[in-house]
Amino acid sequence: MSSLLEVKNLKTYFKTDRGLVKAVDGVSFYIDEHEIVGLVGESGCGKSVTMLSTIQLIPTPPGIIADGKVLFEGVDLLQYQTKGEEMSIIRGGKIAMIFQEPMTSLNPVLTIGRQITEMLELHLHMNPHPAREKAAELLNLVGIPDAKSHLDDYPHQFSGGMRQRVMIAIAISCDPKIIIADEPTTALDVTTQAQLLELMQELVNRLNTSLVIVTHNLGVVARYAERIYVMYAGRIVESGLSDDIFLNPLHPYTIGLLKCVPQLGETKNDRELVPISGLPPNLISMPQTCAFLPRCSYHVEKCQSKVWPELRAVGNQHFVSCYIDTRENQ
Amino acid sequence: MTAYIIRRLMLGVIILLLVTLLVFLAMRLLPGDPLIIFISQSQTEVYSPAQLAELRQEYGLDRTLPVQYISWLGNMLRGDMGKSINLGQDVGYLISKKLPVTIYFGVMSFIVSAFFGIIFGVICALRRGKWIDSVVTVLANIGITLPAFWVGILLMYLFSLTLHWLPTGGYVAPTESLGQSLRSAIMPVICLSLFSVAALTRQTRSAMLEVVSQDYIRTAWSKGLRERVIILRHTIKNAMIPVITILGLQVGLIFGGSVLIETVFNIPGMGRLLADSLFSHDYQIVQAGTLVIAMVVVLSNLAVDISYGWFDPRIRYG
Amino acid sequence: MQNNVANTVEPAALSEIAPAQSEFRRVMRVFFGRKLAVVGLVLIVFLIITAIFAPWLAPYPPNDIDMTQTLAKPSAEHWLGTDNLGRDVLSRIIYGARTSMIIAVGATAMSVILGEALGLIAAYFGGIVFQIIMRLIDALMAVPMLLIALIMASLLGGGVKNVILALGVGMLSVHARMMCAQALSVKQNDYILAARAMGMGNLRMMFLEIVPNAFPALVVVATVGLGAVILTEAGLSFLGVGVMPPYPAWGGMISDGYKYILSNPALSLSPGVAIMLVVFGFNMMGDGLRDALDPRLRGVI
Repeated sequence: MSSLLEVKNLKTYFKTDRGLVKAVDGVSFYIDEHEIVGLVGESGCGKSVTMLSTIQLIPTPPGIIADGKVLFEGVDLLQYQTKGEEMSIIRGGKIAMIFQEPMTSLNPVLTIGRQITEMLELHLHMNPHPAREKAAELLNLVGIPDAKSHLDDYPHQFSGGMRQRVMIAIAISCDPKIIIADEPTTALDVTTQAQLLELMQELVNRLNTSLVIVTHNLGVVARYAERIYVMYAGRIVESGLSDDIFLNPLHPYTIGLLKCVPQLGETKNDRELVPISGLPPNLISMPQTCAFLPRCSYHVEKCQSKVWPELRAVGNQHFVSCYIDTRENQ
Repeated sequence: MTAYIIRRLMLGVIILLLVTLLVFLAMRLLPGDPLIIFISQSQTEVYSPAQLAELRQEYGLDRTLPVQYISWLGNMLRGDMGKSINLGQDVGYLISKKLPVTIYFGVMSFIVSAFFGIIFGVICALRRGKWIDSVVTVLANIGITLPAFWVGILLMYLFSLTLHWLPTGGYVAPTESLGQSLRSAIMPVICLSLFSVAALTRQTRSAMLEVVSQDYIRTAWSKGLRERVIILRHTIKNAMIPVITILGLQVGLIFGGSVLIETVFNIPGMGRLLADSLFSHDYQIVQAGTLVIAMVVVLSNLAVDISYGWFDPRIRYG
Repeated sequence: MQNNVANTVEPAALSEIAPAQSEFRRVMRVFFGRKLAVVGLVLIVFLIITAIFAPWLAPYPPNDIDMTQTLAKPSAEHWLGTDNLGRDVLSRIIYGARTSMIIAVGATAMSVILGEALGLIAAYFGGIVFQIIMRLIDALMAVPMLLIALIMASLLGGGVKNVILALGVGMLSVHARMMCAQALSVKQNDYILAARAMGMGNLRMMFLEIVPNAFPALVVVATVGLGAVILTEAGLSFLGVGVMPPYPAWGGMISDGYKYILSNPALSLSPGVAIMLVVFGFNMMGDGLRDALDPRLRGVI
């Protein structure tokens, strides 16, 4: 059975003054129907760029999708023109996106209602009046009380959490198959974060869409994602079922990430929080060898002489890009 | 929104009052006998001291400064702007003849500047980096360096004196003959709008590029909206916000420019009147003329401010 | 088995740290990276050299009258021809550079000092002081700059000093407004509250905190303002207010030449070109400085 979305060997580069930045360098993953997938990694690892590339939202003067296929329902989206009719139908209608910054992601001079109805008019060909009705319904659905009266309000009259709810309403408005949430709660306070994540999970279940959560926050994906991909320096270094990744991490980076996250119930005597040593890599002058090598405490001879390892299977749906078996080195 | 308008109106009134104060004080800055605000220099030399003293009393110069100001202001508000020292005519009458001419050219220039400036700016931003952007940007950069009156002379040399295509200036009322009126207005309007078109092109281009790089435009793309919709509905309206500010500034610049252009093209407008009056020391006209111009500028700034509120809802619903 | 952390940090990792670059060098790099800005700088340097070395560069003394050679067209002897009194046009343009520079620098300096001071005071003290100063500035801005300068220059009489004064007052408002806006945005920052809590005095606060932050905007506006002053001064001398003849001023030359345009067009046209080049130079420098010092000002200035 083929997946809803299948990305094969995606490569997205950016031409800068200082050189070619290989933000995404050979990433492959899939998303099935009705599932929640997490894409995890630190800032700059390429996770956002990966998802933006799938719907061609990368600014193409500095950026360029150098290679790869993005198969949505079997059809390669990358063959379509960025500004063309086909992509226009896909974006918002089949694959919708929620962005990180609610404060700046909504147009300040258009009403909330307009920003929702324009979606409905475009993708569902609704007329203005029924579109307004539907927009009010959507606002109710995302937990904005007294929706009808808010339709003519402007974004600046709302708080960050409310604006993010509006963004969610916009995303679900046309029943997309996949919703991509790019750091959806990073800019919000903890309580609002929790509320919005619950909301998203509820909506995803109710509407039977798939959700991709892109985040650096392990706590977020632990609770909600069924499968997880871990990215580092533009590639996927580990992937698997959520439980496997958390209970049985195999890539040194994943292990490192989990080591520096405190767990509820632990005291400082139980375990030391160990940060990952070293600095994030410079994506311009990447060596051929494993990108994590400078910061890896498990490395052996082999790692310094061979190229970046391919993902190999180590269990049920569990893949790791590493030359050694870290379980042996505990 | 109404509260906003009322506030701006009241502010406008305060500003105008301050302008009257500044003008009043400026006149008193004149070296020499303040009597020359009211009568000509030559007359002060002719009259006897007794006659001068009488005149001073007549013009209220023996009263304290604040009192003089109040009474002068009172006169102005009643429409009594004094008498021209040299021409003998009522200043109010003179202004009523000349102001419409300047406004005629001014409005045309304003519309031309706004229209071309904004359109060129949008085109440049949308075709960023392409040759049309480079060419128009260079032209705009040159445009803001051109001394308008010099361009006037250049155009006159070319199109009137050499090619004989256009008249050398002057003013023909549109009611008399629209064709003639527009023909003689072409060169002056070009000169008056040159700087503004260039400045607006630069500002619009810059604002458009700024807006296009904003997050909400990326959101618009992610919604599947087509490029035309994104430009017209999402981008331009936002870009106009800073552009309106610059547009407002052009009113003052166009009025300032009209002093020079009316001189070059021999147009009987407010600008020429003021320039001539300054030289002939006809201070009654200078006072009133400056005030009238300031009033027009303040009113148009008010209009700009109000439209600002229409473009930017954050101002309306603060 | 965990390796010692120190051993695993390879030298390669250190080279990934971005090299510390001094702010000054960064500014220079961006500025000189923009071709137009460099062109502008070259033009202005050229202007300054012309102004300073006028006596050596000009082929003839600018005020030498020669009634046998009036209104001559450009020739090998007189590259731009002569005016109605037989004076060499090129020399007058070269000396005109002096007039322009002196007035431009003088007026800009005055408007910067007065304007920035007013803006700073208004923003700093706030309340009624702010209102009064800002309304006065608004009133000043309600009268077109040329008109202000014209009125002041006429009332005070011509001459370089008065023209500088007149233009300085005309340009004041821009600087006052800008400094006020900058100061207000700095004032809101928490570190101002912290400084106050530590007992920092008013004057010190103004100079140590607010002025340095406003510096980029100030430099850019002043540079572009130089161009604006030159254009306005040209207008003034065109109308006959301004430097007293026989000292050459570009605007005055245009006005003189106006009447004789058919005899020697260079007389009226060449000073305009000179003005354009100079204003262009200042504008391009201003753009370059803005991009180098603070690109965030892009939409604003």
